[in-house]
Amino acid sequence: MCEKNVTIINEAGIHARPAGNFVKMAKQYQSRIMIRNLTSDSYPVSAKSISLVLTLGLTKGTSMAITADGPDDEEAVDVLASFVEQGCGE
Amino acid sequence: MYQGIGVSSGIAIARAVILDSTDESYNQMAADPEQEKERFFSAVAETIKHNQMIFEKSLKEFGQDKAEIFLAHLEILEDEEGILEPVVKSIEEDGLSAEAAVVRIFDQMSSLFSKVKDDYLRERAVDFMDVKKRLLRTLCGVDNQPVFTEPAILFARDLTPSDTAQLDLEKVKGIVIEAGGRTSHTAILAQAMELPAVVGMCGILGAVYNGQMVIIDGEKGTVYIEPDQETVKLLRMKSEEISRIRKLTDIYKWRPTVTSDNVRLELYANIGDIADADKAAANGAEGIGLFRSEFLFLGRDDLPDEEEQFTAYKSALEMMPGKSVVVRTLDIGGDKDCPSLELEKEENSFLGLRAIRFCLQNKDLFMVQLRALARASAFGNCKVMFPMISHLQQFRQAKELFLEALAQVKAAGHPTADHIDIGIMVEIPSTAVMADVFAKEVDFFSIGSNDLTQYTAAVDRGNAAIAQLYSNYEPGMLRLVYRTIQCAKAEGIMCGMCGEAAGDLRLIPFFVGCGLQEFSMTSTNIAKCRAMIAKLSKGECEDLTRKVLTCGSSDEVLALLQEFYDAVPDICCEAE
Repeated sequence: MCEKNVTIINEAGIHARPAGNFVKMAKQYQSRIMIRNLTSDSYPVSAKSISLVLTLGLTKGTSMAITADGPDDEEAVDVLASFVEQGCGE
Repeated sequence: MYQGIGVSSGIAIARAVILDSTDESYNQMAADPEQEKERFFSAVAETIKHNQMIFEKSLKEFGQDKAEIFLAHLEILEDEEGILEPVVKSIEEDGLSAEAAVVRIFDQMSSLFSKVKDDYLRERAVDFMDVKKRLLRTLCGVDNQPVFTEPAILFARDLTPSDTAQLDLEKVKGIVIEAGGRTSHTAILAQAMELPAVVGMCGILGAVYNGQMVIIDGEKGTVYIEPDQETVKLLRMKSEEISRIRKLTDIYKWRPTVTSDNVRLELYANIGDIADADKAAANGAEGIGLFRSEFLFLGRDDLPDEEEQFTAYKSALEMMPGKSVVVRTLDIGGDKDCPSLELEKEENSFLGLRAIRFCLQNKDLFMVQLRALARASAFGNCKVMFPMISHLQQFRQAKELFLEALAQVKAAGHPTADHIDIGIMVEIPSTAVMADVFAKEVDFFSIGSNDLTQYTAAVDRGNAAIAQLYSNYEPGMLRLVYRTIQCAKAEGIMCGMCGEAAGDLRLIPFFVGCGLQEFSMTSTNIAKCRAMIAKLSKGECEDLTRKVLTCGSSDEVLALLQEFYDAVPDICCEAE
């Protein structure tokens, strides 16, 4: 099991487009991946569900925890964390 | 007349068509779960296909940016954990029909969304409802796209992005929506489609009937139902003016700026941030005459570092390949809200420690900007301009600092341009008076007409007590402009103007007559000005200039300019 915390840098937060990119990337990994909005202390949701990711309300400056559990969990967390740090492809 | 939120400009005059949003009807419970699951997945497959098609259509018509909304819809349709599994579960465990299961899951999502505090993110819930609607329609076999027999203005409670993207623009001339806000996808799409749109018109469906004559002003957000003759005439004129100017834009955007006697001039754009640079290119700017670097410093507590500034300048250069981009170094004073700079409140901030004076006293901060510019120079045709130069010594100091910054970045191994033009804003009267001396040392002038007028006539435009003394046609300022341009010509350096006056159709002939070579203005004015310049002969302009230089008041000046302007053949009659 692996975890990393990141901060959202996107001006408009994680809306449909960056969320779509993030989820697409998360789906590439076998491990179970959960994310949590640390700033609002939300429940953890699956990083592979765009609907659930969008309901977290990840605005600019929000802190987010990425947790993965499975055969490729380390890689998943590293890659996803840096993807978020760079703005999820925006 | 009704008032809503105008989200996409333009005027539309047509008959109302009301979108019938009767809810699809279906059964809540179903006997055969297996059959419901099959129906559900087949509806999903069809909706995916449909979305793929709308995505491709939007990609072609509106570009990557706008079309990506539909990619997000596809993600929703493929969302196992959030959508597909819960729906299947509702069908299997609770005996719900496919439709009821879809409605339950999507509505649950919707209530989760309503808890999101951020407005922009919460509005994304509309994407969900779009997919829900589409799925329901497919399941129920309903497709209530209205049929248009004549040009229409569509009224609806709400329009999903895919509804909007599919509108037949031949028939639909405008849309009025009860729901929706400025940042909704529908608003964004309407803009991309250049479809006049007004949203936020709560209750409008109760006030309009099918077939009524309607006029909407997408810029003001006003809706007129069965307006009187006067209003129709007025708005029809406004509408015609708008399409006249649009036609102008199409013709003159891509032409070079040339007078009728073949004198080549340059029309550039003034920009305040990167998004403007994009607009500048799209509006036919031949370069950027003023890139206001302040936007990087305003409204924040921290300072932009070298990396951040470098990225911004580089982006602007890359958006204008092969064209000049003149970046003005930090031009800010105590009157602006700039927490990051900790500026002192001064008695007389316009005559105080601002712009270049501030930078020369805060060398570290200034060097960060200069290094960022030096690095960015490798990526295009970058020129550096210092604001509010009042003394030759300031220019020499600033130039030396820039050359030092250049040496520093080269030593650090960064590529730079071989030569970078370094010039000044001419906005302080003493500089204009001493223009002959300055012209020997700077690479170019750019006249800041607004401030030059204020300083020359000692008038604060913002002071209501004497604001009426300010005039764009101030003869004192115009004489200084003339002098500045002559001094530039004498030393063979380029002289441009980036103040408001550069985009003033009545003043342009005067400046052409002075010998001004580059005019930098708001990008949306470029096509208009280019069209006018095409009808001017420099010879005639020079006659005008001679006359204007003898005027004793701004009224006299304006009278001459107006006379000349009225005599110019209509700037937009033919398409050549």
